[in-house]
Amino acid sequence: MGFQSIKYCLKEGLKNVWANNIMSLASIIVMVCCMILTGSAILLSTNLTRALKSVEHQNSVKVFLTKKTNSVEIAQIEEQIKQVPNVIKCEYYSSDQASAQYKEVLGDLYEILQESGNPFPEAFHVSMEDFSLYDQTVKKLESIKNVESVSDRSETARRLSELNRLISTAGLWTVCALAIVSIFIISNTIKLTIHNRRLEISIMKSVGATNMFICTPFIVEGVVIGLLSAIVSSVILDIIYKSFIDVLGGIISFQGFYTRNIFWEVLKYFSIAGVFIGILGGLVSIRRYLKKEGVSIV
Amino acid sequence: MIEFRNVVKVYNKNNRALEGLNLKIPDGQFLFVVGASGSGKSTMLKILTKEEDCTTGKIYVNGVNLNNIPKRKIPYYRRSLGIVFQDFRLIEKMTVYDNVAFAMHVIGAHPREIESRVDYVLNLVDLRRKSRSKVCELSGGEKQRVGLARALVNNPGIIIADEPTGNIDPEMSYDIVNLLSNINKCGTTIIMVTHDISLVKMFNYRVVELSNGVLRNDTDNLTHTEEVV
Repeated sequence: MGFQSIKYCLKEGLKNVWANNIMSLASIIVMVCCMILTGSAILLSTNLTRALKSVEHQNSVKVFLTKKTNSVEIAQIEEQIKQVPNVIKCEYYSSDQASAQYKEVLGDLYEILQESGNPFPEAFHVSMEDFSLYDQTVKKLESIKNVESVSDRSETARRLSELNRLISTAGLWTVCALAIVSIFIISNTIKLTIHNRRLEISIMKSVGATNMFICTPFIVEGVVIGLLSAIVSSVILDIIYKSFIDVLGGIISFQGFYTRNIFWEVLKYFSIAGVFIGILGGLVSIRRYLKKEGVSIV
Repeated sequence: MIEFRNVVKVYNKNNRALEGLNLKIPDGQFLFVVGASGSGKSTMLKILTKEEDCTTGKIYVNGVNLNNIPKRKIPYYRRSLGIVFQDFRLIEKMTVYDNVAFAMHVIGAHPREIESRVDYVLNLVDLRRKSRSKVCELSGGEKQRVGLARALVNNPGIIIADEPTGNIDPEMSYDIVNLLSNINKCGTTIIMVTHDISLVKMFNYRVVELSNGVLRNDTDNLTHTEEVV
């Protein structure tokens, strides 16, 4: 296609959006709803994943050592724990620290316990990077010499991992479903444009327009609808998200939010999605029309 | 030169539109195609415009076998044709000028070229003074002249007119064929399908008659047009 043709097609595509203003507006509204829902799903998923990761990091297992372990051995065990894969943090927790902590909790009962000496073993607080690898990591920790036991938190680990997986999968399916709905809606709007312009299409074909030339204005129309929807939904989602953070921030103290300023990032992804959906929606309708009904000239 | 060599078109078992059509149309000829409804006239045009492919046989246009033209090249082949429709097929919301210019925009012509060429063809069909009028303000005859101007604007070597006088009154019909005749005198091949025998009789051009998909009569093989019509 030459420069004049490209110019003409762009102009016609923009004119189409305006000429079918009611349908274009309807498409934009539905696409904005889809984009907001998709964006919300992604933001929710991202924030929950981050929150879970943060909770996972806070959760550490306790590695208890045998009673007879001396300070040299403790230092060696610490080194060995640090070398276990998936361990990101290892903090020494002495029997005296444990004793002091429980003194406050147990009160008089603590005195009875103390009669036969400090009952608490030496221990380490160990944080894992990936809680789904809990079992393997615990096995490795237990195999270290002078390790008596490891506090069992496998159930918590399993539940956290499952929830994380569930959120990611649900988010992905929501995005896919809403993307299909958006393509369907744009495609229907463009079908209406095609119906209104079937005479022009038949004339175009009779005077020798290429399929590319016929398709381009409809693709431009789809892209414009997609981009306008992206801008509107980015603005709305930004406002909703900021309000959500403000409200939630007042209720709970949580620092794990993705970011407060999402507008440009959301606009970037929505624009890419809008252009892609617009092209696909336009192309699906016009190509189907040209193959089935649009062959007739005489 | 357009040549149909033993062209057969079968839509389905019970609908055989053309049954071995053999026809040669030399460059610059004016040809009337007549025949009853269902005789195969429209199928013949559809094959010529590559809207349909023939089932068997060959069609040559200026030495090119239409069966061998790949799909992506069909638009470029169609640029060598000008098509005039019975129902005018004009865009009502556009002006006369824009309707004609539309055919040039579609092939990516430069605006300056469009301007001069559209003015020229509108002058040729005597519609220059109405170039800014909307199509809905025109009479049937005027609408068909716009259709003719649009068919001419890309300077095609062949004009295919599918019952161009079907929707206009007899006086205007004569004007339209007369206009086509003038265009033909400049060397353009004209193929005009019509039902209007009285109109055909007014011009001394070649007439072929189709009947049930076969060529029944051809004035090239007879002494007078009268014998066919």
